[in-house]
Amino acid sequence: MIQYLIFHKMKFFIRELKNPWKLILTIVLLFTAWIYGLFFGYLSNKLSTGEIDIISIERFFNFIFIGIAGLTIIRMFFPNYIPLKLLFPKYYPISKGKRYLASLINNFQKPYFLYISIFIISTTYYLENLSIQFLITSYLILINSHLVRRCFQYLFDFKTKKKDFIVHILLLFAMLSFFITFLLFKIDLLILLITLMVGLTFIGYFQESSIESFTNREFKSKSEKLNITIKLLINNKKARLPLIVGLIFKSVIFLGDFFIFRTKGTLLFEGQIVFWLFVSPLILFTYVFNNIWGFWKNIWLNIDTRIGQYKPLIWLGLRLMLIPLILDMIITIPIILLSWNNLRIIVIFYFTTSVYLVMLSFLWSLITPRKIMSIFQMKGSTSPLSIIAAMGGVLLLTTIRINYWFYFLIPLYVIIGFIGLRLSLDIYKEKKYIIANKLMKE
Amino acid sequence: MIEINNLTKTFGKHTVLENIDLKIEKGNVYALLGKNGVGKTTLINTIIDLIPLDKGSIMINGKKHDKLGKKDKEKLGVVGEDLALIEELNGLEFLNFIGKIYELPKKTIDKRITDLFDYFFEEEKDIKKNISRYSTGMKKKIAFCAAILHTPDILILDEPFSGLDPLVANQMIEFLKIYQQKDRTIFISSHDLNYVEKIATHIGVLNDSKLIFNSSLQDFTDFGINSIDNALLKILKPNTSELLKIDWL
Repeated sequence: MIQYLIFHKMKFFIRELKNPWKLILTIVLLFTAWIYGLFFGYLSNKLSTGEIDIISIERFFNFIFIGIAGLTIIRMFFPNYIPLKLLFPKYYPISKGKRYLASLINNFQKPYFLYISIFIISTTYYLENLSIQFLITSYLILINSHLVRRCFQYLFDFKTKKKDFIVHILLLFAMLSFFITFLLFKIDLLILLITLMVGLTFIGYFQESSIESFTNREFKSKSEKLNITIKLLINNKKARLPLIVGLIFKSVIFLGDFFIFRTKGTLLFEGQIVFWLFVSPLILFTYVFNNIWGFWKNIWLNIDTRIGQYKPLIWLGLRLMLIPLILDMIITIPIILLSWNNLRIIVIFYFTTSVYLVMLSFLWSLITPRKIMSIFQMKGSTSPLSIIAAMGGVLLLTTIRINYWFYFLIPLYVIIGFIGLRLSLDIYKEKKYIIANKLMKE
Repeated sequence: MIEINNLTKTFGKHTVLENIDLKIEKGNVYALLGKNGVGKTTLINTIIDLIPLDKGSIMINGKKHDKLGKKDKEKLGVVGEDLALIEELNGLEFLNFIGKIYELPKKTIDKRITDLFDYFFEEEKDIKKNISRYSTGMKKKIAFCAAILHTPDILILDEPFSGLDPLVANQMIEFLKIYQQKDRTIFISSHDLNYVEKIATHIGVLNDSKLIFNSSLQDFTDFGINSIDNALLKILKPNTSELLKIDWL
């Protein structure tokens, strides 16, 4: 039965990949996990040889472990709460042990564990020292943090008898005290993790066998906003493809730069101003977000005819930008960190240009909208004026690399952004006819 | 209440609407008739402030139409020529989205969606299907549901019956009859005279950029002596003499 469960889950996962978007997403995530592993492995080697001296290697590993544990536990709530499911109804004739094992296997066959495994394996592969210990510790932390998550979810999601509930709490307390005691006595981390895993598995088994029924908890409404935003992005063909192309384009450029750096020790774009256009999230704006209502015309039309305000439109626009901006940041940050030592300039540059581009995009979307007829239209999907302003702004900020005096531009950019945003709110009533005229004509 | 005074709208040199005067009182169902391209949709888009007017004024519940605040705008419900459906979402998500724009309580949204769905849709899967996969009739129905979800005082409908099968069109008429009873104002632009006759209390006819008829349905049909289509033909006087010139028929 367990084999069938494993086979069935794998078959389901593979069948889902028939959907080209799922396939692309899976490949992108696997690729990203591997790249992250490569990056962390590479950085660890530099740390252990002393080439980079910001943090000790042990401390760096601890950060990675905390990251793995945190991510595994946080995914219980984010982006939405995923309740623990009973694989088999209570009356199903199956032993408690098998029931628990099936539930565990079902959990560990989630794509998340595949991606995180790829990350761990990739990091281990690129590590020059301590690789086996890192591999085992990472996996133990991954398993333990998931077991901790399950322990809490049993308390949230299922009803148990009062007596059993008290036993659950006592067991969790015992586990916590054990953990603290071990930490105080500085016992070897591996022994601690193995003991913890055995303890948590035992608690999990006890919890699984004492379940009475489900609670009536409803969590759907919490995730609704995010789900709708994702659907608005994914199901909008005209916006989806330029965004994907933009992000892939950026990844390819960075990856090329990274490999040249590894082989030749020089950077393709080092010192060249053109590179900095790719550091910022500019491409998302010149492709899509400088004409946000052109891509999501009916959102504008609904809000305008129903309440006639620009502020709710701005909030909605920000929600639409959030996921692409996070993806852009994920692509940008590790490669930049690898390629440049001057972290401060890059982070300041990235966030200043992001604020500038985001805030002004609402003004451009209002005063220079364009009707989007096809996925990639010849005349461009955003206005030349908005492209020039965005590119010019990004390029001008690169002067912070030349002289510290140019740091005065940073507050100026934020102020310009705010003025642009304020202006778009103030002139909305008189300029909204431009949107109607441009987007609604046949 | 909608009050239009001396409204003029031109596009370049072409005058689409000229000196339009119109008043729609509470509880009236006003049907705007006229040939294709005569400016019915332009008038609706002007009322809902998607097109600026060149001259004159439009008052909605006593306030200038382009100065309406959020609360005043919420008193309007519109199904425009552009149905404004967010096709990335399914019907249920779209109606939920609309309910949230109006900040309706979740329970109210759920209740209203269920009731509207029970009345207008047959199968549950319809409302859970992405709107991009809807037929024209279904799109019209969901746009109508979105327009009345917040029970507006004024309902503006541009060609609400086109693309609907007779059964659904009649369902919509029965719905509107009940809706109008609570002193609500309904403004319809339509070519479907049979349906208009069933619901309208007042008729306006737009021709050559002017409102050439503006009175009650009884006046329009001479208290039922003429059918509504005959009455319209009488006013518009279609030119059939050209037909005789087509000798190959």
